[in-house]
Amino acid sequence: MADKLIRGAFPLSTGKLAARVGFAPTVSAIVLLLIVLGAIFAPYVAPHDPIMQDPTARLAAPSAEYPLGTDNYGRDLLSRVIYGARVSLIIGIGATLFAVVLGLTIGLVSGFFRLADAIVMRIMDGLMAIPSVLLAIAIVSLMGASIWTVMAAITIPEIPRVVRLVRSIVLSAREEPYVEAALSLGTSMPRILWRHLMPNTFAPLTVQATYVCASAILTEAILSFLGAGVSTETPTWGNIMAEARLYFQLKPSLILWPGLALSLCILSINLLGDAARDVLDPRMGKREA
Amino acid sequence: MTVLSVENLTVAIDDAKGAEVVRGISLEIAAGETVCLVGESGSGKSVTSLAAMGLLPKGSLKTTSGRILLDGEDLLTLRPNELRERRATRMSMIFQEPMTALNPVMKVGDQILEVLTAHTRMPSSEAEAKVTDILGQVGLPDIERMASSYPHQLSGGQRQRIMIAMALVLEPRLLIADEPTTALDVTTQKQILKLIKDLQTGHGTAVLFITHDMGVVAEIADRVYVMNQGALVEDGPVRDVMSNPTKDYTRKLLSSVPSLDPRAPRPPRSKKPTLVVSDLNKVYGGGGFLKRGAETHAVKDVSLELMSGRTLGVVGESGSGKSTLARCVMRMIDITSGGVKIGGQEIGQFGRRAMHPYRKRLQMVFQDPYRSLNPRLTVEQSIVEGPVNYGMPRKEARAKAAELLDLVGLPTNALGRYPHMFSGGQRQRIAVARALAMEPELLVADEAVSALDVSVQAQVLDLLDEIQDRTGIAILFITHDLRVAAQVCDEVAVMHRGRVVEMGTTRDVLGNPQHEYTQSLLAAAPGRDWDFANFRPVAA
Amino acid sequence: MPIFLVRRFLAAIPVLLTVAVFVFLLLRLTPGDPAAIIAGDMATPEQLERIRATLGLDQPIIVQFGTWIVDILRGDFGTSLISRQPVLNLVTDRMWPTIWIGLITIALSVIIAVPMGVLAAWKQGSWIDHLVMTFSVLGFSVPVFVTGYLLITLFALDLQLFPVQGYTPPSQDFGSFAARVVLPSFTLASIYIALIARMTRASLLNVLGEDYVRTARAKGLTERRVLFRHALRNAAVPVMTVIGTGFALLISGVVVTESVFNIPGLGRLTVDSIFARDYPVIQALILLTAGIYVLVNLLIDISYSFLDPRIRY
Repeated sequence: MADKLIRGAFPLSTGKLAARVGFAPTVSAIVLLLIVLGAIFAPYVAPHDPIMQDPTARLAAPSAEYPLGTDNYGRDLLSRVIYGARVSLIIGIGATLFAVVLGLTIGLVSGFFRLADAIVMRIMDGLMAIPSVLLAIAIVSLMGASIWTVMAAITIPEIPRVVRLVRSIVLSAREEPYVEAALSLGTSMPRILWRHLMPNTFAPLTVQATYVCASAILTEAILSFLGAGVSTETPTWGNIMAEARLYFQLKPSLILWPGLALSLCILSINLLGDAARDVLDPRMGKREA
Repeated sequence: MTVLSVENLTVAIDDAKGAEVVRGISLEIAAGETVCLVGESGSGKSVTSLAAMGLLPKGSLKTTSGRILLDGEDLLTLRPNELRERRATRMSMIFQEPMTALNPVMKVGDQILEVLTAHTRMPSSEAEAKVTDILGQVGLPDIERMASSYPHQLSGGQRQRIMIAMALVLEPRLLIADEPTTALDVTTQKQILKLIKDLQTGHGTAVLFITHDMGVVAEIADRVYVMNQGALVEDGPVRDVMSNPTKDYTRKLLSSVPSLDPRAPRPPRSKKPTLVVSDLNKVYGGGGFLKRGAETHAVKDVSLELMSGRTLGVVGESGSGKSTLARCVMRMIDITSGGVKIGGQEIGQFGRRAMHPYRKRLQMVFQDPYRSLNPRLTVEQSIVEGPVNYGMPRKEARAKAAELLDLVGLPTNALGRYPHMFSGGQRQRIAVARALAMEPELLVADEAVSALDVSVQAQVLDLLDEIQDRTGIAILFITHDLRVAAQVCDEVAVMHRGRVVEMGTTRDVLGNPQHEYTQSLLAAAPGRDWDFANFRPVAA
Repeated sequence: MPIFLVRRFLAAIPVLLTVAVFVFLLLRLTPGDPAAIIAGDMATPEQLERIRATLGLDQPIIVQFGTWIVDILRGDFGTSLISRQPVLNLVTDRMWPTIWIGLITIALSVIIAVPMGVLAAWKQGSWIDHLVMTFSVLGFSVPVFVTGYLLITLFALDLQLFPVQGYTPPSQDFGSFAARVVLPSFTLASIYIALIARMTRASLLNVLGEDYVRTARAKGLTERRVLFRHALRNAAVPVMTVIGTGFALLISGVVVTESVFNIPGLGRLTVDSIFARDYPVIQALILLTAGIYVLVNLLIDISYSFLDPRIRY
């Protein structure tokens, strides 16, 4: 099964990719790749400096100079949308890494040691009970908004979901006879955890990580939109939309273009997650609840 | 009069390749007749029966040719709603697992009633009377209460009776029973087989009975069809096939069935016992603060002794406490009271750390060979894990793994492969090799051959015997199967509700049982009057 | 009251206590003087002193926590630092718009999503299934505020079917209320519908592969009856679970939706209080939402035992 999984997750030839994983995930991967490349090479791709103001062209309609038009300060919307991907991606990837690493560690410990479990799970239940956006804005408003506090504020509410997933896998895997067998072979607890239990979590965690990433990007946008995200001087998709709110009835495209970019980005990640789930574990829908 | 006639039926996997899982099967069943379809796993026997009901899983299997005639009418040409009308009225089916086959959120009485409302226009009072009547016919006590119970409130045997009532309430011409007693204990199995036979005689139903168990075949069949790998091997009246099989496969199948004739006890290799269990008790759980839940006294005052070079069988039905006993001996769970001695050393109260040096002296082989090996580790990694834990250099451990693989009859090139590349029997050999790598004094085999087909079962049992001869290891053999116990055990302990009710040499206990419970177990063993390996009735 | 209900209620206490500790520590653990954080950079020493006294910051931390909890249990959530009104009054003043929109959203979601999921599972692999799944993945990929502005652009600005923003209480003018809750409710429902439809489909597909569904077919029941009598009720538990866990998303969504549609509900109160650093109000709101979340999930847990006779606590 192991090598089948690996082949499924990393198809050898990209030419067969579409045929193997389907149309939607292939398109998603391409869209995502474009967004990532655009963000990395923004200075070369964007037609203008995203914070350069053109007082002569405020709220301008799309033109050859400004393909998507300009905002109320006369800044180029297209350039701002391209640069806006940077913060979203950094936060998405960063929050996912932290949430997965911390969640995996806590989940493994909690799944295997009954004593720790009771305490850890009460804390996780408590964290789960606070809506993630509320928790995040509370943290940011108290600690001040920087990319690090925003990342922390987004990571913390995601951790319980990872912990619960890892824990449930460990709890069911430790009932497996091969774990009992390892026990009777004199294998130590930490080693059983590492060698026999942890590998079971990798496939579901890969899937969960994509959903965490999508959710983190979404929360970041909401924070920016509500004005509790990174500094308003940095162009992020949420910030662009927040500033455009006042002019929305005049010029809806100011909100709709960054909204489209944001939606496409999250959609692609979710579709990739679904594809990964279908390949890695077709029965995971059950566990997700 | 022929009720069901299957002609040249072929079923294939519903994909581009279309590999055939049933190839050109033909069979016939007359009214009032019981026909057994017998075969090992993968023989296609269940697929054949599902095809007859039109219940092949959509999108994965399809019939590609042949005819299935019920009273002369070809079921394969019927439209879906016509076929649906035939179900329950003309043909019915009962399944292996009565727990999952009943809807868990619906009262069982309603589930039977539903058959009537779906197929008849009976007034509800009449329908309810009919439900009460059929529940009585299948021998259920306290019918009112039964009808308003949910499946989880009933025992396995009661659930299967409900399934039978549901299948027979409209008096169909044909009853298909797919391993209906495999999940049940032998004493329950005996009752259910008798029930099916009685109802059949009363109603003149034709029964197609699917099973892997030759004992059951000998017990109930009029005629038998033997299947292997999707094809029909041999058929005929049951006595003819069992006493004079014409095909090699049938001969092999019959001679793999272990005999109930107990083996002679072997002399112990030394005076000192390898394992001593004294007054062992295990009490599970119980309620906590505001928590419902009674205590379960799973093992009660059990005392055993096992000498090296000998095999002690622990037999009993499900819930008898035999697996709990095995886990207590292995010290995978804490024991409530009493003692466990390995080679003279008391280990009953040892904690995890104190237990460590003794772990290697007792090893276990588990029931399910598909789950007892970590799918992510190669065979070699699994076998060397134990020795390396106890400080053997990796290189030496590898050489040893290769040796052991040879000992259990697998090629050395299996070392680098993963468990999924092997069959069930081969995996069980790997599990045995893994246990032997620790050079234990005691091997605990917990239903170690129960999940295997009889032919494979015989090979694994031979292997254990050979290893015992060579190494003098003591084996604690947990099984529900009296035939297997008779073949491999020098002594047996019969467990019932946590207690050992009878213990002694296998020859004494199975040859001349004293306790009432042992007697009932033996009486329930299917096919006890037939000596399968010698193709003749048991000499009286 | 059955014993399992008592046990379930008691089990909710540690969760709420954890939330309370967390909410309490949130301010105390931030670096610097909490009073200064609350008051902002321009505060005078007198203002700082007053805040310290109001929050009891001059006392040992355990005492602070104790007094705070005892006050809350008595229904005293403190006084707003900005408006000087009791927090409880602020909350009760602002809760109705949120309650209305929340209830309408949940009703809409269940009514739309469950049939969608059932249809998709029943016709698995068909165009209906693909359509439902597409809608569902869109539903939780497109952020609420994007959906909101999209709906406004389409139905309020272009088609002029509904007012753009704002809220009217139903007691004042029901027609206006009805017209103004349509877009926010659909906006909010988009995530919930996606979640519930997806889970209904997955759970039903799961159940349709069970042995008892095969038994039901072997009994000669019609497909419709197999689906409605046998499969649906068995598929309900995971769907209920997702309605419960999705409730957290709904609360987050309310905060955003109320900002987009300019609705003076609890969501707006939350955002306003956070920017005003009106700490007692923030504490009360987080506790309140967590309490509602726990309560909803408690009710859902209890509903399991009606759906499935095997579940007893």
